Amino acid sequence: MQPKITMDSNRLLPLLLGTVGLALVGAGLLRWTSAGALALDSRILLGAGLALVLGVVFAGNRRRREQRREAGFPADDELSLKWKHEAGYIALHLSFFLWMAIFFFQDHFGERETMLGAGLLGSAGLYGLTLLILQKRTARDEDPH
Amino acid sequence: MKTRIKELRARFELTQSQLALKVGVRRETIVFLEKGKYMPSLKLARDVAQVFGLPIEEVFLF
Repeated sequence: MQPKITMDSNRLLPLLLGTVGLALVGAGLLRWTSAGALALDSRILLGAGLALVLGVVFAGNRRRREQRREAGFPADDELSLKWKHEAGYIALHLSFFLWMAIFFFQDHFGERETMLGAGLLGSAGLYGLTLLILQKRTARDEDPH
Repeated sequence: MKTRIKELRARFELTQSQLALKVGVRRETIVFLEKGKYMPSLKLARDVAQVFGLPIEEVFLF
């Protein structure tokens, strides 16, 4: 039986990535406004908007996984797990260099929390990027059926 | 490694999604198997071969 997926995952993924991008921009704006550029009520509104965007991302991702599971596909199989393990291994090694660079340029960070936050976000970003590269390194899907 | 999965799939009139459902993996895994970009576990190789009723060595060419 042909699996029933109501929304094409190829369309959903750019939507999710776009939302994440918006969330990052929102976070940047929030950081900027915390310097005093916006009034308190505007900051609250911006924070609420950011929370809404993040909620949409989580809900969209959850819905995508549920659709795949309902269609009979496993959330993870041996190839996807292999990708995750390999991405984790590579990202861990790259993170060492990232942290070295961060400590080397620690004078450029205003606060210690900012430095730690940049390191943690960078490590997470490295993992995501590595996973994406591993998945796309192989040839693109030529046969949708 | 080369595989005859695409050829056999066409002969059995199976889509990538249908084959993926039969062996319990994601469709992307079938895509990479067909292109010889992924070396499957022995279990997955056996499951795929069983769908076509062939021994492993006739589906996966080493």
